[in-house]
Amino acid sequence: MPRLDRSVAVCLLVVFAGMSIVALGYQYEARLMPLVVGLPAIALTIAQLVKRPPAAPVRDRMASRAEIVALAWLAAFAALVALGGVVVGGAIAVALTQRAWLRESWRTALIGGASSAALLFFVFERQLGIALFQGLLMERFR
Amino acid sequence: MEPLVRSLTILGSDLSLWLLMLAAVPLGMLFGAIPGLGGKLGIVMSIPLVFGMDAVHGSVFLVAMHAVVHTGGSIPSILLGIPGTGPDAATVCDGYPMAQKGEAGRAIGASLAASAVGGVFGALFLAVLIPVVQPTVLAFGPAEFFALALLGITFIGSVSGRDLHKGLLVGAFGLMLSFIGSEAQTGVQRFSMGQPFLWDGVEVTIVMLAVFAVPEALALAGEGRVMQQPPDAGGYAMADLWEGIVDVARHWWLTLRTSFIGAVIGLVPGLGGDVASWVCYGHAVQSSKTPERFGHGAVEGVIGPEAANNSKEGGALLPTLFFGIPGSSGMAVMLGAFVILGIQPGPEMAREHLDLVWVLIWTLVVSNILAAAMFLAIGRWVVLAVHVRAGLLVPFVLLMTCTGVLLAASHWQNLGLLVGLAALGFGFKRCDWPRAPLAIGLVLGPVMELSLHQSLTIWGPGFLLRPIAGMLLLATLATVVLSVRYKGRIRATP
Repeated sequence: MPRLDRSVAVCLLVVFAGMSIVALGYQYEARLMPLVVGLPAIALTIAQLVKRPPAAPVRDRMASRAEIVALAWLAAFAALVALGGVVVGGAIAVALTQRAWLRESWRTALIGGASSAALLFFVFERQLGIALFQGLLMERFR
Repeated sequence: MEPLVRSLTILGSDLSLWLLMLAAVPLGMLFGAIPGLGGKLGIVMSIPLVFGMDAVHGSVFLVAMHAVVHTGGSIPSILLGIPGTGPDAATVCDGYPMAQKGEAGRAIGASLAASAVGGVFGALFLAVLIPVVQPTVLAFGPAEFFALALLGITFIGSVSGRDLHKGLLVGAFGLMLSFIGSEAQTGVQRFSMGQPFLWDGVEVTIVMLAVFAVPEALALAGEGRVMQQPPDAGGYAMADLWEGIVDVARHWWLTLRTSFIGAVIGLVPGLGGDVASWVCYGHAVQSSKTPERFGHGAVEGVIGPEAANNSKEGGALLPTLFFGIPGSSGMAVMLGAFVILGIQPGPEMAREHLDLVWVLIWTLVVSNILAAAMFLAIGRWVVLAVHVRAGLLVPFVLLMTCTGVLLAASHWQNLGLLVGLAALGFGFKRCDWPRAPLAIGLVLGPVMELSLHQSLTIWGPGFLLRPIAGMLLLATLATVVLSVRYKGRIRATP
C-alpha cells in the first residue's frame, strides 16, 4: 500500500520538521536533543520518501473504506466518552458501536452497554475507589 | 543474599500479591488464547487495572500476566491451527497435526508442561545472571547509558521490521514525543503549544494504548471475527493431558536445551519470541533421530517452541530491568508500564531495587507453574474464549482504552491525542512499520537527554570515545551495517 506508506512518512516528516524548527527557538540545553534526533530523522524520512516504494499488494477499495470507517468510529467513541463520561458515555458508545458498526443485535448491544457501565462503576469507582471522568456535559451542568 | 531474603519476606507476608497472580494468570492465558490479542495488548489493556497499585503489586500483576500469554497462545495453535500469538506459530507445525490425529489433549499437555518448565528455567536463568550483570551495570556512567540507549533503539529498529529506515524513524518519533513538555535542565516548556494538557509531556500510557491496543482492536473489527468456526479437534480427556505431561518428562533433555536457547535469545534485545520459538523448533527437528515425523504430529515439535516461548521472558527481563533496553517488543511495552508504575529501569534497579527484581523472578516461577495447574481446572473455558466474537470484544477494548487514557492524564483533550496517535499507529500496522521502537524511544528519551547533558558537562564532546561507550557506538554502527546488508540480501532474493 504505497500511498498509505507515503502518507505515514509525510506525517512523520511534518512532525520532525515542525519540531526541529520550533526547537531552534529554544535555549541550547532545551534544543540540543530535539535537533540531534530531529535533523537526522528529517534526512532519513526524505530518503524513505525518495526510495522506490515496494510493489503494491492488490487491495480492494472496500478494505481502505472499512479502515476509514473504523477510525471514524474510534473518533466518535472518544467523543462520546469525552461528552458523557467514562461510565455513561462509555456505555452509550459501547452499545452504539456494537449495534451500528459491528452489526450485533439490539439485545447484545444493550447488554454490552449496561454490563460495561456496571463493570466500570463497580470495579473502578466502588472497589478501587478511583473517581472516573464524568464527562464535559456533566461538568457543564453541575 | 539480602535482597533474595527480602523478596521472600515480601511474598510471604503479602497475601494480596498471591491473589494478584491468581487473577493475572487466567487473564494472561485469555489474552494469549484469543487470536489477535496477545501479550503486548494484554499489558496495555491491564494498565488501567494497575492504577493506584504500588510498584511491587502493579509489576507482579503485569509480569505474571505477560509470562503466561504463550501458554494460552498454544491452545488455538493446537486446536485450530491458528496461532494465538506470533511466537506460537511454530507450535502449529506439529500441534495441529496432533489434534487432527485425535491427540489434542496430549499436545496441550505437552505444551503446558514444556511452557511451565521453560518459564521456571527462564526465571532461574535470570537469577543466575544477576551477580554477573550487577557489577557491569554499576560500572556504567552517563556516557555509556547514552551509547547503550542509542544501541537499543538502533537494534530494535533494525530487527523488529523488514526495513531499517522505518524502524529508526519510528524510534526517532518516539524520542521526539518524549521531548514534549517541561525540559528537566531549564524548565522550558517544549512543543506544548500553550496547551496545559501537554505541560507534563505525553503520557507513556496514552501512546501505548494508541499505538498498540487501538490498531489491534480496529483490525479485529475489520476482520469481523476472532474465531467463529467450532473446533473440530477440540475434544480431549484428562488422561490425554497427562500423557503430554509425561512426554515432557520423557524428553527432558530437549526441554532443558530449548529452554536454555530461548532464555539466551531473550537476552538479545529485539530478537523476541518468534526467533526463539522457530530456532528451537529447528533445533528439535535437527536433534531428532527421526526428523521425518516433524510436521506430521511429533510431540517434540510442540515441546521445543513452547519451552522457548516461556523461557525467553526470563532472559528478556534482564536487559529490560538493568539497562532499560527491552529484550523483546513485549518487553518494550512492559518497560513503558514499569515507568508508569514508578519503576525506572537501569542501574537504580541493581543498586536500590534488587528485592523487586527477585520478587519478579519468583513471580515468573509461580505464574508459570500456576498457569499449568490452572489450565487443568479452567481449560475448557479458556478454549471457549477462542471463539469470542469481535463484535463483543472490540467495543470493550476501546472503552478500556479511553478509561486508561483518562486515568493516566485527567485532561479530556488526551482523548483527541489518542485518536490522532491511533490513526498513525493504525497506519504503522497497515504499512508494516514496526511499533516497538516507538515505545522504546518514548521511554529512553528522557534518559538519553539527561545522559547526553551529563556526559557533555563531564567529558565534553569526546565522551563517546570512552572505552565502553566507544564499543557500544561501534556496535550501533555494526548493527546498522549488518542490518542494511542482511535486508538488502533478503530483498535481492526472488
